[in-house]
Amino acid sequence: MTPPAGRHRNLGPLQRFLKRAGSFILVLAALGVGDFVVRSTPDVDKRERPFVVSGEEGKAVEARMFSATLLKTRTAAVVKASGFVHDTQGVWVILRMRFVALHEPLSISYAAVVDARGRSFYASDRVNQSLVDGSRILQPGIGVEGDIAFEIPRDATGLTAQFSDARLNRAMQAVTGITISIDDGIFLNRQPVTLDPIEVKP
Amino acid sequence: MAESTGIAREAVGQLVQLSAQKWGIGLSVLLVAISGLFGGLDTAPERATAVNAAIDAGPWKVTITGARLTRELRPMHLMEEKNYFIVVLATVEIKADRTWKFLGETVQLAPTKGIVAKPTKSLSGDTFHRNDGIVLLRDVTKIDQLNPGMPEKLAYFWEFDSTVPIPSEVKVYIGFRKFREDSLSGHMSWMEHSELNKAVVVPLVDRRDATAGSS
Repeated sequence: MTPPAGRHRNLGPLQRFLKRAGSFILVLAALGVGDFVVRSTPDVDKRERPFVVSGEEGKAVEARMFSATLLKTRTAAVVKASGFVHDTQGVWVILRMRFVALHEPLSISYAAVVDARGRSFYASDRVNQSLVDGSRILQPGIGVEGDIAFEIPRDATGLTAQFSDARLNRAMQAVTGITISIDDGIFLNRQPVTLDPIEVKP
Repeated sequence: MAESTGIAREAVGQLVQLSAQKWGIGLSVLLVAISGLFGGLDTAPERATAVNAAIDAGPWKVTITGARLTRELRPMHLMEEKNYFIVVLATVEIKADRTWKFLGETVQLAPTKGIVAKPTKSLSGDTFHRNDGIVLLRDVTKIDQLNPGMPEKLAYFWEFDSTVPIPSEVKVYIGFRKFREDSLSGHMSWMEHSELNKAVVVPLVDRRDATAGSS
């Protein structure tokens, strides 16, 4: 008598078990390869990170739709704005900035000082900062200068200033990264530093 | 001996012949049963925490230090002059790596009779009163953002109807977030995790004679 052949032959319990185990191992191997591919490709945060355009004090940095120039850096223990004084447990960093819209009207909606540890300190909301809170419209080709105040902890070092016209999502948007140089000795000055007014300087 | 080996082989054979669906159902029932043994089927209790206890809630750490009933305190203004403010005092530290805007979520007032602002529901279904403002006690300015690594004492304000009996205590929720992947965008971010929200019951101290800057 000839034994059954092909897919229709009768398998014993052990053979059936091995067949199913083989399928299981193949599925696991496919998942493993998929996991390897996922792990070895950049994640969404890396793929869609902002494009940081680096620069330094005194030089205009172009972030696609606008240019930003750091004119002057001051630090203080106390700032004075709109008649009120504001102290801090850290340090006030006051940047005199010049912004120029390059192509069309826009507003600066994001302003932050980023330290070497990757922490972002946004422009303070303890003082009025209309130049960078998205409310001040910049007209193309007309420069506007103003003080931007940031509050940072004393252990923050390696600072850069970031600005963007993107309101909420800065994914794949151009952002400035201007190096900030700070003289540590000024930190001890307890005299209130007054924020200078915004000026239009074409 | 040979008979018992035969029975065992037959049992294994029958198990192997079960369909994948039956295997799945059986394993699921087993897992639920084991989870139940360790309390997995219990109703989640409200996670109460004491006043003055630091609560690590993901991107922020909150310590509720007290609650006050006050009259109008600058820079906050009452909509009705006869009303009062319920003020919850807290020390808040941002642990995230960026300035946190919109601090209302850090301390939320549980539904309380007499609060002028109507209760609202979060996306996760929690009911609470939105605050009328947050004041930084350092210099008594209104704020709505806080920097990482710079803990501050804050006061959260809610206007209270003066015609309603004054409660002896108020309950606040500390919002909780977890750093995980956003299932829609794929970005890693601090996502709401309301089932871990914690409640703090705070005695309400009558300070209607207080002035701005006093505690």
